[in-house]
Amino acid sequence: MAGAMSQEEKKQHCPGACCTAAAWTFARMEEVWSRFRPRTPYGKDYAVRRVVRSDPAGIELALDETEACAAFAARNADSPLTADKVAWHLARIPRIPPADGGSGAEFDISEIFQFKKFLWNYSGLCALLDRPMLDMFGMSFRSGGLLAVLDKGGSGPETFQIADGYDEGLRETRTAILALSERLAWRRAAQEKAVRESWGIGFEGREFVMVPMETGLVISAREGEGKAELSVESYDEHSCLVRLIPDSATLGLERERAALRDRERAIETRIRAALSGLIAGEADNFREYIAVLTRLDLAFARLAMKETFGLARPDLSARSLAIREGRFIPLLDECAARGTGYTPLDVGTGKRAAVLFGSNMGGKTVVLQTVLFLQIMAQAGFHVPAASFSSRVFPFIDYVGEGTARLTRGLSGFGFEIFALCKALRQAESVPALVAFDEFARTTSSEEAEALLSAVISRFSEGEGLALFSTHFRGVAREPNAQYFRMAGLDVRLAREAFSGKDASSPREAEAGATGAAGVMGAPVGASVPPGTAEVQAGTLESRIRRINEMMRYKVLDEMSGAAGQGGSDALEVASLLGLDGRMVAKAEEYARRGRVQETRYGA
Amino acid sequence: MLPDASLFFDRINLITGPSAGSGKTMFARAAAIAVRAAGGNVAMLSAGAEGFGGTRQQASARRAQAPEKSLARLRRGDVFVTADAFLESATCLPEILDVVPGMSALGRLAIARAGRSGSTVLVGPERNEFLAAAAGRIVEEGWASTVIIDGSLNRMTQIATIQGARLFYAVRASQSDYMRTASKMNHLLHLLELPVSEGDEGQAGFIDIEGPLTQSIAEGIPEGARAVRVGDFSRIFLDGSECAALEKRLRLCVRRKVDFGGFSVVLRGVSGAGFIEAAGPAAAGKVVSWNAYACEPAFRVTG
Repeated sequence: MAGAMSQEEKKQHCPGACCTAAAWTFARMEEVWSRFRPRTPYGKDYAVRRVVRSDPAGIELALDETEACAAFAARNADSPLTADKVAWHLARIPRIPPADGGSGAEFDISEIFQFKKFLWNYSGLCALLDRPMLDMFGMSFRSGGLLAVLDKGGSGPETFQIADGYDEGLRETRTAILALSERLAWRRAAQEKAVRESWGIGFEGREFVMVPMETGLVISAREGEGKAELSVESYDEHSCLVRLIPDSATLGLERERAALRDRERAIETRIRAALSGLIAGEADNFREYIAVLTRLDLAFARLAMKETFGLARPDLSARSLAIREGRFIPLLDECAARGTGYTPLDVGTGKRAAVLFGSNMGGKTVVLQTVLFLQIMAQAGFHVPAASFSSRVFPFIDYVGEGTARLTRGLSGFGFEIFALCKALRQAESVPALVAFDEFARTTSSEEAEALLSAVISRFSEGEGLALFSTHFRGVAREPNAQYFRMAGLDVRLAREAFSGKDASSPREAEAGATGAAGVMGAPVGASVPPGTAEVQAGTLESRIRRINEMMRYKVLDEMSGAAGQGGSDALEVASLLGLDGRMVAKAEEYARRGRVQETRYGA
Repeated sequence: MLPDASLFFDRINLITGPSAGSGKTMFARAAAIAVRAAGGNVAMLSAGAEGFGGTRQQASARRAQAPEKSLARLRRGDVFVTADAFLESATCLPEILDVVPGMSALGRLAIARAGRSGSTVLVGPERNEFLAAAAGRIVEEGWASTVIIDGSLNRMTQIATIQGARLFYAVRASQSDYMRTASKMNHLLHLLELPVSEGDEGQAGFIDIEGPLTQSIAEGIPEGARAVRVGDFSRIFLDGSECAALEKRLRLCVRRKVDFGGFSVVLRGVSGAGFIEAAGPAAAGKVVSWNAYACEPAFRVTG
């Protein structure tokens, strides 16, 4: 999957007690989460934690804040620059060290710089946001005094140095240092000029230069005459290194400058301590600013998601689940990339358990994924991709199915499912849980699997939460507190039309009579895949999946709706469409008719 | 003689070399002097802090004893990167412009501007991506248009991280190793001049290698292969003879060419003429600095 978590992300991934990693992965949350992009380091920290909440008030507040940002954007629709400026300030907020920093702690100048940059951008945001926004986020700037003090240091609002303006003594010291440096530079320049004129040696700002051995020997001889202005040391047999020797006056000036620098450093240390004290005095303000900024940043980032995906506010006050036109974004993106259609999900139940039967490749798993996806998004404080989504807040969200088995060594797929079931049961007994079971017990014998699944459905239907089951096992017991659905499945009429060119009454018969895949795949399949195209004739997996998608009706129906006997697995039709040898499919159908291998229809 | 300033102007320059004492730092400083003299504004960075490992307290203590050669001399307006510990004791009146992501062994790193002439120890990010981020930020914000990075030893892969940077390679040749040095220069030049190949994917016998090309990977390339492509020259970890053996049976090419500025050569105990003869006209022609601290042109080479 496109947004699969890296090892590093997996380490960081912690949906918390509310949502298990299995549920998060099953719902393919990472593929959408990667597009959630807060701008501040604090918002990014929050995003990394993948927080799924179980406090209704917190979720509603997050939704309110997103809508407040949307309203702010609408109020400023005529001045898009305002939104850009907000984003700009958020992106420039640095991470600051704890402002109280322990007793008597002093901050480094780079840390003081970060406080200044933080305050400047925070105050900029306060100035940009209007009253409704400031009220919504409880935002105010109370550190004008500190910012003014910090503003004295540095040439701009986002730079910092211990500037002369902090202390008259510092200014005087630096002025003296500058004057000495200028004198030293002048002396050095004069010395360089003299050497250039005497010896033709140009230093050009270098501390030393390399000269030919002959030149070095001549300079050395002069050194012996007591007229030293250059020191010479051998480099190799071809050349020497030459340095300027400072005279006593120069050395005296350098000593004087070194003493002034010591004084300068002492004053700087004093100023740094004073500034650190001022910052520590505002520790409470900084804590509050960080909290407010995090909420503001997350709200704008959630708004960006809302606008990108066209999300709607979820209603989490309902007792039952109702989804209208729910969109599972990871799959929607896949369909768009593949050029196939996507059917949004309409489903609802007021029961404690919902069981979904249906075709192979009929969309049962996607229904479960969509429900979990919407629920997790909602509980993460996001608006959701649906025309409407009513549900409640679940303190625990889990998934039990094959997908997680590969994560644990030493257990078979079935073993892991049972292990996961035990964990889910423990949680569901203490809090109302949302648990999705995708084809539970699919890997064991159908008779025992049906019995076990019936028991699990029974237990969860008596609980306080909501359990969702997808399964092929139509023989499970019908519980009064459970609701039973089926996927609409393969459109038999379309499938038959697909094979009509072969004068067959069913796709399987047509396949049986065909000489090869090209004959089957060359049949008319609908507008988006014209018959006879190279792709179809080649019978690529992609084209076959597209054909199945076109013939499959991804709708959730009540189990008893439609003609009796509908809602089977359509396994043989699907196998045929996927290119299984036609004679084998025909033989399987013959067995099925005789009822000798009825159970294989429900197997893997 | 100082190198030509125009080689470095308005770009990120990465200087690397094969070993300690190759003249990398000296060449970087000479380049900065040349750019300043030509009126350019310079940012100086280093990868890590050679010889200053350890705790921050140790670093503070070491600063007082830092030998002259560890101190970078800065002019007013120069931009540089260093650690907190050295900011406190820098004599160049640093003004903090930003904090570099990540931490070094010597603590937090900051991008600063010198408020007056003075000196400090340069300390840069150890991780390539942070080094690239710091250099990129300096250019993006317009703090300096010319960035000179004193890169890590023998870490050619840095150039791949810093997109668009110009590479310089510093070597030192002595009597005992100048033939080998000349040979390495020619091998490097050969790799740098490998052809760029685009759009050959899918052709029979064309192999695209995402990671490094080592000898063991080269040995695993099937006999029928016609061409092998790697990201850039820095992904090739084959010596001259291994490379030649591979190129006898297939074409070696790269996805991206690296902008090569030239060699800095420091000669010790070797005559210029002798080294030029050993290096040959191609490598010698790519030398942009012979003993950067020589007070007069050591050699003039054409072709």
